[in-house]
Amino acid sequence: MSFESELQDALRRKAAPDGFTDKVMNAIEGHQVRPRRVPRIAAAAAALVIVLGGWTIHRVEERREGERAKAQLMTALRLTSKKLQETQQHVQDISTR
Amino acid sequence: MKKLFVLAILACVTAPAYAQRLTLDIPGLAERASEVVDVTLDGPLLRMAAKFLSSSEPDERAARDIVQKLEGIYVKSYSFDKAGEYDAAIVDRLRAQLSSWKKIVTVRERMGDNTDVYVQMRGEEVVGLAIINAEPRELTVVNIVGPIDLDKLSRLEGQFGIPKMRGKHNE
Repeated sequence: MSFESELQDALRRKAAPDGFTDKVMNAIEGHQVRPRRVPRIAAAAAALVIVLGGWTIHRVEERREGERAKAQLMTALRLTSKKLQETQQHVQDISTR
Repeated sequence: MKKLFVLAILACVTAPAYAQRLTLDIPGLAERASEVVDVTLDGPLLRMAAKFLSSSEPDERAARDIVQKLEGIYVKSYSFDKAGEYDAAIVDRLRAQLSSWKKIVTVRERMGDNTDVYVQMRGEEVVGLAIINAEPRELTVVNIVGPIDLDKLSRLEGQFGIPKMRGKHNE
């Protein structure tokens, strides 16, 4: 048998064996990368951390604002008290002259 | 005439329960001052401040009693390095806002210390207090809006680190 005839014989079109397509498709599906699923508990924990974090920041901010308002209030009352006291002192001084 | 009467009645009924808030903004004065105290506490902020007042500290307890029903506290105080840094017209404008208030104390001193104390009344109740203290190197304006117990306010003396006042006859 000449080389040419051997080559023609090797390259001759042959029908695929039965079930070949199914085997190939199964093999492809078996190798497909599926997306990882985040466990529900982890998602819930993350949501809880976000909510608690937000609430804590809100409380800290509220406390800071409250302390600032209190300091302002005490300053205002001290000043008012001082001015009233000075005025009352003037009036008393005049009345005892 | 009847309509006018009804309108007058309505005006009385709808009149604000509390004293008016004064306009204390004096443009440009803060820049000239060496020290500025600016306190603006209206309703919600005042309630919040009251919540943070301790009941174990005498001065804070006294403050809480006073601010319980107040609607606002507004204070502006400017201190200057030298005399004559503010125009006397500023004081006149402040006084002009108080034309409907009752002046209860006026102090005029030769050295230039002038103090006016005003109250606004609703019936028997004091619902507003204003103090204008004009000194050569200091200008202070206090405006308290809401029902004020003047007895409590006067009892504050001695509770804020200020020694209790004594007249000459007591010395």
